Amino acid sequence: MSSEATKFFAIRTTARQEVNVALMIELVAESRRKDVGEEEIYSVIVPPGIKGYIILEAPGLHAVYNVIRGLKHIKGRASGALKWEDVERFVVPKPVIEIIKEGDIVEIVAGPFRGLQAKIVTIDKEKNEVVLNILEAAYPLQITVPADYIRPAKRG
Amino acid sequence: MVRKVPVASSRAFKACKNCRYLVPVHESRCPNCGSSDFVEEWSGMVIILSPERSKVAKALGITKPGRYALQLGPT
Repeated sequence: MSSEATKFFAIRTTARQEVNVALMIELVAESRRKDVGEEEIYSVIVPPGIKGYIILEAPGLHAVYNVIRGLKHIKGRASGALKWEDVERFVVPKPVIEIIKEGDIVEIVAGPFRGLQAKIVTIDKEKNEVVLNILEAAYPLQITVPADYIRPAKRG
Repeated sequence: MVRKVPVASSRAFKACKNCRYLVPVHESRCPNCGSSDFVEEWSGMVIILSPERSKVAKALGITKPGRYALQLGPT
């Protein structure tokens, strides 16, 4: 069977129990593989930053029901299958430097200015660096930091 | 009937900085790549059960089954 036959199904779980549910599914899937002799679940994904959901990669819905039946902390299944593009977002996140643009407000998450908010002045994609204007400084203060040191601030 | 399976919580694991493999906190070496460089803070997890068939494993370049972190460092 090729990888094109795989489908992704979202499972609803109790909040903060996502990792435990994933580990339980791993154990059940392993024991079922020994019984049935074939892999029913290809992977289990716990998406970062999303509470109450996990994603199962399987050839079909029957395989999902076989492993989640009777498990604790499972609240149900979101209807339909997920597209690979939706899953890819969690699995292979785009680098920060691809998302941000000049003028965006970002939060500094590492280095001596950690915790401060700043505005992007210029972006150097080749060096993976950004020049920031610290918003909370008393006087204009520009710093150059690696793009890994920042994350987009929540808009609102 | 509710199946009860004893499992460890997410705090029981640390992630290898080199290959993102999740190992129990008491381990000193990564069983996947042999590195001894770990991070305690990680988020997101993918458990690969069938690397040959999994599209996720192919996208991440994973060839060995096991548990891997999706993001390293504080969230």
